[in-house]
Amino acid sequence: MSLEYRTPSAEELATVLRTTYAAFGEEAKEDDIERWAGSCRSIASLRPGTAIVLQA
Amino acid sequence: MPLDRVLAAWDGDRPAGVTASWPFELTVPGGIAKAAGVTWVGVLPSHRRRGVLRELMCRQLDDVHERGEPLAILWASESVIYGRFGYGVAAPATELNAERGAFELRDDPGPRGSMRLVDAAEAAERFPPIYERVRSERPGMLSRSKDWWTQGRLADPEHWREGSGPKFYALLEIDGEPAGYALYRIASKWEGGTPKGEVHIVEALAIAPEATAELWRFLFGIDLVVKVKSDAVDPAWPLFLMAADPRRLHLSVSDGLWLRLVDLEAALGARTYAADEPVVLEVADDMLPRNAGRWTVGSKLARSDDEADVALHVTDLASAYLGAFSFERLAAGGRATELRPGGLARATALFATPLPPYCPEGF
Repeated sequence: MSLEYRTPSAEELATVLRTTYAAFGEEAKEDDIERWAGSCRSIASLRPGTAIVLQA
Repeated sequence: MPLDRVLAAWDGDRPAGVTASWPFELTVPGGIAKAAGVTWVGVLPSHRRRGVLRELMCRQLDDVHERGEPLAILWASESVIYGRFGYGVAAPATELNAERGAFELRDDPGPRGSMRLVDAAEAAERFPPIYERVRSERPGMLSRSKDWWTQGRLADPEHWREGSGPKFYALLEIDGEPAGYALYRIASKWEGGTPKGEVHIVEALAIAPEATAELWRFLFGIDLVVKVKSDAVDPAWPLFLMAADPRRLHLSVSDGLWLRLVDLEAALGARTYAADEPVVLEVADDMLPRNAGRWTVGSKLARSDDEADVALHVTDLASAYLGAFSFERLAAGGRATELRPGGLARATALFATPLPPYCPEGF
C-alpha cells in the first residue's frame, strides 16, 4: 500500500477532519468541522499564533 | 490552527489518517518553551496495523523540529499508544468524583470575599489575568490567545454540552479584587422526586490558598446536586488537604499530559534547575538519535564524555522534565538506572520543583 503524506488543501480539510471522527467510530460534529475548516480558509486574516478551538 | 500544521495520509484522493498540532507555549520550571500541541490523531480502521500512525508521528516530529519547537505534547485517547514514539507522562491528571453532601472545609475560618456569576463577555475580561497569574508559577500550563478563550474555553455551543446545561462563569473577588474563577455546567437529574444532579467543573483556578478554599466552598455549595466532578483538578491536591473528609472526594489519577522532548538540548535549556551540582545523564532515544548520548545538565548544559550518573530513556526523562516524577521515583519504577553512587539523588535535587506540573485542559 503506497500512501502519500501531505498537508490538505483548505477545500480538503473538512474531509480530513471527518477521518478522525471515523477513526474513533464517532459521528462527525459538522458544526466543529465547519468552525475549523472556516478558520483555516480565512487563516490569512488571523494573526500568527491565533488558534480556533474545536472542543472544550 | 494554521493549515500547514495538519498532516494527512492519502490513499488516492481519500484521507486514511491524520494528525495536527496547535502552536502553544508551555510553562516549564522557571520558564516557557514552544510546544506543538498534537491533536486530531486518527487512522481509519481500514488502514490500521500498516505503519500509518508511525509515519504520521515521525513526519510530524520532524516538522515540529524544523519549526524550532523543542517539545511536543498531547492528551492520549489510550495510554498505550504514544510511549513508542518517545512521549512520556509529564503531568498526570487528578480526577474528582466527590460526594457533594460530605464536603466540609477543614479548620474552616468562614467565608471570605464574594462569588458572582458573570456573562461570557465579562469572563473574557476577568478570567485571563487570573489564569496568567496562576500559569506564571506553574509548569505544565498552556498559552491561551484571546480567540482560544472566546472561541474555546468560554464558548458554549449546545453540541458541547453532552446532556449538561449551559456553561456558568463564576468570578471570586476578595477585597474587591479578582482572586479566582470557576467554569462549570450542571447536569440536572431527578429520581423519585429527589434531586440527583451533578456539577461538572470545566476549570477552577485561584491565585492564593484562601481563594482556592472559597472556590471549593462555592462549587460544593451548589444546590440540587449530589456529585461534584472534574477531569483535572490541581494535582498538588490542595482540595485533598483542605477537605475534612478527603476520602469522599474520590480522587483518582490518570496519565494526563504526555510530552516528547523533540530537541533535547533546547528543551533542557529552556527550564531552570534547583541545585548547583550538574549531573550527567545517559539518554537513549532510538527514534530521534540526535537526542541520544551523554548530556551534562544543570548549571551548564552540553554533550559530555564524562561518566554518566543516571541512564534513562527519553520517554522517562519527559516524566521528570516538568517535575512530575523524581529520578528516585523513576528508578523505583524501573524507569531509570543509577550508574554512579548518589546519581539519582543529585538528579532529583536538580530537577526538583515546588509544585507538580498542572495542565488543566485537554486539546
